[in-house]
Amino acid sequence: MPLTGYLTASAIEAGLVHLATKHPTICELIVLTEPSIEGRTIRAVKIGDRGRSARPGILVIAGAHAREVVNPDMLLMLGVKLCKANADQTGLTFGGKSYTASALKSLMDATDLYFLPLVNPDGRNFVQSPTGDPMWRKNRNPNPGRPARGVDLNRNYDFLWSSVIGTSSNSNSDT
Amino acid sequence: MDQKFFVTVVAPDRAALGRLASYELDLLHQTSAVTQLRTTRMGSRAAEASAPSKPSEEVQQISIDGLLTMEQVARLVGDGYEVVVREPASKRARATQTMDLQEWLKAVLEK
Repeated sequence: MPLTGYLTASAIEAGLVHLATKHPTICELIVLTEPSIEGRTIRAVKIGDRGRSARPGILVIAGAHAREVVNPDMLLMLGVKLCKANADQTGLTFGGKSYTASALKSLMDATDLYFLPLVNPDGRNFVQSPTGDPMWRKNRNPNPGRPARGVDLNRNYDFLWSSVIGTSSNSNSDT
Repeated sequence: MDQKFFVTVVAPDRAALGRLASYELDLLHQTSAVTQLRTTRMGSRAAEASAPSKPSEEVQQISIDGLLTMEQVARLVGDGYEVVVREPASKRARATQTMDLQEWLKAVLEK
């Protein structure tokens, strides 16, 4: 069966729930403390042996720019394939690069993987809506008192918010 | 909501390319490029006949792609930039092609 489309924001969330339900010994669903501005729950999944104590972690996030629709699906796909390979004790091949089952086990033994495939669910929902804008990049923060809606999440993390040092001086700029 | 278009903005020089940052436009930074173009000077047939082997001239084109409204295009043109409008943004939009999760999972695990 070919991949003929992209997942919606709610399907990505359902995909994370599916992962945690299907692979409970290595997947733990994490709900972020704050919902999106439009009230959507934002979830991540921790992939690693749940019986082990805390280990170094790798956080991978995707979907900050709403119109870049491929990368959230790719990250969820990686999670699905890793969990399946772990369950079946098989390796994985991506493109021309192969990883043996033992290499994957070493990775999972040594680290906890945190996958957050959709940082900006409101933006994705707007991009995929028939009445939305397929080229929308930001989130859907109304920005009271400003002419433009939305914040570019990829340019405005908490650290030095809206400063001119490393981040945009204008958190709702289109650039 | 104003319709947006994929465009190529051609700047008259490198400094002008840099000044685009102050416009707060949706420009695709990774596409900025300096391209060597070879042009041939065209003159009258008589002139060409008298100097048929006149060499072509190399010129630099400094450009960047972006996603702009027509109002933004007009502003840039008014400020001395050349803007080539490629196509409406909607022509490249694929995001509304969605897939059911169960079908997606089946496709992913078959791959």
